[in-house]
Amino acid sequence: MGKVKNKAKKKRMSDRVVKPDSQKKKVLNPFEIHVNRQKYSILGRKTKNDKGLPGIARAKAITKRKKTLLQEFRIKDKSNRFLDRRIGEKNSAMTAEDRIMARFTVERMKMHNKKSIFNLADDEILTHHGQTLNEIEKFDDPRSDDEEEEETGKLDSTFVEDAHFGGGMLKRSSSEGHTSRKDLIDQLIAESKIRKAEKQRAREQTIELTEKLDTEWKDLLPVVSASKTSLNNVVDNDDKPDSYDTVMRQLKFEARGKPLDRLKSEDELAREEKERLEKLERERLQRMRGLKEDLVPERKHRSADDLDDGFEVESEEEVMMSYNADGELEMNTNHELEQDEKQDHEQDEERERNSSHSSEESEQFDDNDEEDEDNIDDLSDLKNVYHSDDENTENKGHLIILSEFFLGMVAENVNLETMQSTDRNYCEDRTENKIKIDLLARKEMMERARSELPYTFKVPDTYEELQAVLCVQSPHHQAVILERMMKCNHPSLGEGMKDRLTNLFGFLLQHLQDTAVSTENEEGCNCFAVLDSILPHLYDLSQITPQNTGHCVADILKEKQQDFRAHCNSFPGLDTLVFLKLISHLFPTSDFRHPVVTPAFVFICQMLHQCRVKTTQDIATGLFLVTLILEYTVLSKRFSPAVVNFLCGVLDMGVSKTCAKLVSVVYPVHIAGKARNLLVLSEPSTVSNNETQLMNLDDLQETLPEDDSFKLRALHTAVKLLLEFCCHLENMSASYHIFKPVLTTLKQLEVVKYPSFLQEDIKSVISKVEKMEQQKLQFLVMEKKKPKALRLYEPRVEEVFDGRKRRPMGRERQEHEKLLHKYKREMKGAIREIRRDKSFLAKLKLKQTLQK
Amino acid sequence: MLSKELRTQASEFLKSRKNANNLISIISLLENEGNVQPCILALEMIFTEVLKRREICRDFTAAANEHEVNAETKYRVWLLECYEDTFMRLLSIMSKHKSSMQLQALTTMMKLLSLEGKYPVDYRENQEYYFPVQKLRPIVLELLSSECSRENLIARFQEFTAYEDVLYYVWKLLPTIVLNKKQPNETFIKNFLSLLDKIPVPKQGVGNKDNWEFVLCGKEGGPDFVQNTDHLHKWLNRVWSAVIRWEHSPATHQQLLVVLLERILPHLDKPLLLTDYLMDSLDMGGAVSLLALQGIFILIKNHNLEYPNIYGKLYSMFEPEIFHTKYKARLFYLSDMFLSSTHLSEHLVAAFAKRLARLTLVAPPQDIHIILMFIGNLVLRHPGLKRLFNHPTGGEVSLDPYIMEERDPLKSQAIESSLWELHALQNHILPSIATAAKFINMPLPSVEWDMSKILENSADDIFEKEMKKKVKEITLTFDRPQSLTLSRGERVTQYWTLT
Repeated sequence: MGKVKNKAKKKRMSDRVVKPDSQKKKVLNPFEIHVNRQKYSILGRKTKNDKGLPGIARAKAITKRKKTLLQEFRIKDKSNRFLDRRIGEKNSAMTAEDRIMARFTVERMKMHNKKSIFNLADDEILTHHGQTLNEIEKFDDPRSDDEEEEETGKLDSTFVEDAHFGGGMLKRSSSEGHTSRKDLIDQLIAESKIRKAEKQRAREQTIELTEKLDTEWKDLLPVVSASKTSLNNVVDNDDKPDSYDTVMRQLKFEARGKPLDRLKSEDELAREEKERLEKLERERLQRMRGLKEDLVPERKHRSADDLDDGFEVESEEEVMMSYNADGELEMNTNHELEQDEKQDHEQDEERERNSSHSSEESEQFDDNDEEDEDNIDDLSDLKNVYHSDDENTENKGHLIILSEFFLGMVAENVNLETMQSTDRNYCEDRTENKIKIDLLARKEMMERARSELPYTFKVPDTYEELQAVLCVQSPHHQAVILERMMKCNHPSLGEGMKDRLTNLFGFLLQHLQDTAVSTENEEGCNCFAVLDSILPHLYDLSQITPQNTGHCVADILKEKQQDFRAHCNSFPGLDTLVFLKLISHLFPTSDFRHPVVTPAFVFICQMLHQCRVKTTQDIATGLFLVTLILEYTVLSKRFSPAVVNFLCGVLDMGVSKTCAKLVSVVYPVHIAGKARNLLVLSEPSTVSNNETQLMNLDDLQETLPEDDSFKLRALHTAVKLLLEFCCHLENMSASYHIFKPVLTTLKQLEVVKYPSFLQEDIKSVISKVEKMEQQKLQFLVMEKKKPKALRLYEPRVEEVFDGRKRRPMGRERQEHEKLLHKYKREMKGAIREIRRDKSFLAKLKLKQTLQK
Repeated sequence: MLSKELRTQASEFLKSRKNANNLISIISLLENEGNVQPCILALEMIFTEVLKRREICRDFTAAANEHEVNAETKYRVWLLECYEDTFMRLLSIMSKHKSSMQLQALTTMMKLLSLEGKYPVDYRENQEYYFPVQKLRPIVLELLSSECSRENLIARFQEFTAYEDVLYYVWKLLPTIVLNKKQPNETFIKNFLSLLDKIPVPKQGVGNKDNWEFVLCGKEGGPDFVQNTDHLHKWLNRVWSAVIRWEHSPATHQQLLVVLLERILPHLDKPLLLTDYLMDSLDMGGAVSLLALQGIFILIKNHNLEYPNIYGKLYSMFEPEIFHTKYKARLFYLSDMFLSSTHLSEHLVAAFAKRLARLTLVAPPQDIHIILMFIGNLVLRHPGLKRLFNHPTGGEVSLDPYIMEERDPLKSQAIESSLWELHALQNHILPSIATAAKFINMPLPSVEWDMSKILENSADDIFEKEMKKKVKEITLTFDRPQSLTLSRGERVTQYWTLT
């Protein structure tokens, strides 16, 4: 054994030794080697192309061309050709039989060639007794296997015994004489035939019988089953179902809520809503300050060694250390966080568990799924309370409270604690109450409207259609119609719904415009009432496609502005005002710059600056515009000269110019000469009650006779507006100079004539402005800039140095360069190849011509 | 109908002297209101032809032996009378009738004038250039009516003043007309000033030989028209000295200044004499003072005027009213020029900057833009003004040291103050202004802002610009409104009951 092994080893060894030898035999003629000499040898560089074998390479290329290009060249311009695809035809090594075998095997292979190994059923038909399994599975034939006797063509065993083996002396003696062999066989055949016939008959009989039985059974079947069920009933009634069973079954079949749709508790809903609002509010504040969202938050602390390279030490969260009552150390900040996290974690786990359960069981309870879906719908309704209707008033109250809470938070954020919080709270309380009462009344109206209208509405395709639906209805009815229209055509319900709803938005704006312009409106159907009732729906529509909303409103604004240019000295009508009011509802007016709100600002300022005040209507319109600006800037607290100018002008109209001094205080407000005394009271006011009157719609619509009630209303509104603007701007360094003209005008007013509430308001404005005068003024100083650090000359470390420097360029550019380089190389290569191909063909042709 | 008839009558008249009475009938038809225009046209046709035939010409040789009163002479004299009569009637038409008639009359008269110049009525021996001045005078007088405005006629007449000789003789006539009037009424002044505004002052040294195309009454081969530039100057100065002594209403004063600046000033002999007049105008306020300011600027620039307290006057022009004047852009432009010198004292410039800043508190947006740039430019020219927004010591004061009411910019203590107004503007409701006002927080640019582009901006332009701003995303509110009342920041329903 050992020897054998050794031999084997030896052989292998020798192989190893020999192999290189055989290669060495191929040693090339040094004259055929082309060496690419390297100027500098560099360590670690892989030298791939240092040697070339031009002769061999050329030969290789030529053979390759002969295989490819030459073939192609031969069949060039020939459309047909004969291909012999017979197997083994060209292979001379094969004999004729081999070929046949090969073809046969291929044929068989083809037969058995499955398309995929996992496809068991298709191509191969399994059979049993010559019948396909499919056929058998039909069980048409009632005959069972047992009945079928094996019909072998074999001989009977006795006969076999006799005929084949029974010969010889043992048996023959006993027989009555020997019959000839031929007789015997005949007898045998006859017997077997008889037997066969008998069998056949018997079988036929049984078949007949079974068939008969079957038919009879079928006739009998209904009777039997009926009796069976009745029997069952009796039994069921007898023993009451086990309560345990029922409960179990109930539990088993009960609809399961999916884990994702876990009913959220009030608290959670509130918290979620709060978080959402907080996020939105944060974004709003950012926009208000005019910052881009992607701006990196300013780092709080910069060390002196900061190199401005963007590197930042991840500072650990500051931990407040304190001791609790037991004297244990506790970390305040992290504690709560951790708890939260834990909670979250747990919730997640729970969710996961639930989801796995449900996935297992969801298949089993297909019927329940529908119910589940219903549940989902309900939940979603609950979730976005905002989108649900007035039905859930509690939710609404909840929301109001939320938003209020939220306001407080905002105030903190902006660091405006100095604001007069008392005033504000008072205001908020009042508005809240008002809103509540308003909502109740509204609900009632809506209920009534709801009962009177049909339930489904089509979304109109043209404005005329919408007009036809809406024109005769009261605002509340219109609101209900819209509500239903939008419910029936929710964007989730179909493909084109979204487009149609966006169109609807445009139509609604047009509807507003028309109601504002038309004069024959019945009572309580003015454009503001319409706006009031359809506003929620406009809001919903606007949320579907913000882009479209913005463009629609911007277009309208543009149109209005164009109209205004035509007669730029007169105040606009209700149709402009109503849209300006709409803007404050749909768009965040506090944004630093907003594609719709900013043009609106420009427009309003322009109107306040350019329009000439001639009538009471003009005064009212101007005051409305000022109120709008106030509303727009309530959160952002911006300043507009136009507003103060206009209010000052209104107050100035209340100063009687007859009293000799005739101060020519000219503000940049156009007041027609006639209107200069428009608001001077004719006699001391007799209004004693503290009921302040609000401006109303009629003031905007028609020129009223100059009665004292309007004058008081206008003056009071102006003063109150001024008060509010004073509050807004009081922190500004130049505030005193902004309101100084107001002060002088207010002091000229004949205060005695006015009712007490107006007097008080005037006093408070005066005191406010005087307080502004007391403010200390900080000299303006530019922010100190950090001196720029000197550039440090440190070695520049490259992570991977691959032997050459790269120009600094962007990633994309780098990619581009790379591609370009590659492309150039490939191009060069391709050209070279083509050139060689050409020369090859040329040589070939030359050869052919020479041969000819 | 009538016009055709009249034309046939006229042509018949021209065919033979037998139909001479047609002329009388046509002239008499002029009285009628309805058919003035065709009559004028017919008369024009007749007299054009007659003048060309020289039938109207007064024959001196014939006049010499006067006793021989033959038919020919009689006819000629009658024709001349008719001609003069027609001319008078046309003049009266020009004073009374509708404007289209007036224009027709004027053109006809000028046409006749031209023909008369070419074919003088009085036979002339010498080869001097002839212009019927005695005919031009009533026309000019009629243009300068004291009763009503003659804007359209003057505009038409302006076309004729493209002819050098007409222009020359009009200027020749003007001193005589003006010197007769001691104190004309306002309409006359208006007409006169608009005439001055319309007619150009003749160019110097135009007297080339082949100018018969540019003169009304010249013909090819005829005598050349030569104008005396010295005389022109004399007349112009004389006219101006008379005009300026009239008493002017604010409207005419303004017009006068416009004419002065645009037409007359370069041609006056001693423009510096206007200084006091302009200074007085400067105090009048409004557009007049702005025009005066421009005049003063020209005087300073071209004629080395020095006048005490020019800057004080400029300073006092910056009042809140300016934002309503049409000439606001001009004021900013001019004051930018005035303050472009880097040799002004910093106290002065600081006063301007501070006053402008105060004005931004009441200015409309487009003007705030201009003012902000203006202030920025002032600071660039006078780096010392940086202390207005970068106080060297910091600290605080109880009151703004700047005194707005002080008339003298040097005493206004503006340099002690800070531009708090611009700080306030950073909270302006328009984002463009708010960002523009932030320049006080940033390092100043090395090149001045170009104010000229935005000087003429209007609120409409700002609106358009804001509209054009492309924004990727339009944000919406996140409070769903239930009604007109907003959940927060609601103000309108606090003051208005709308529904």
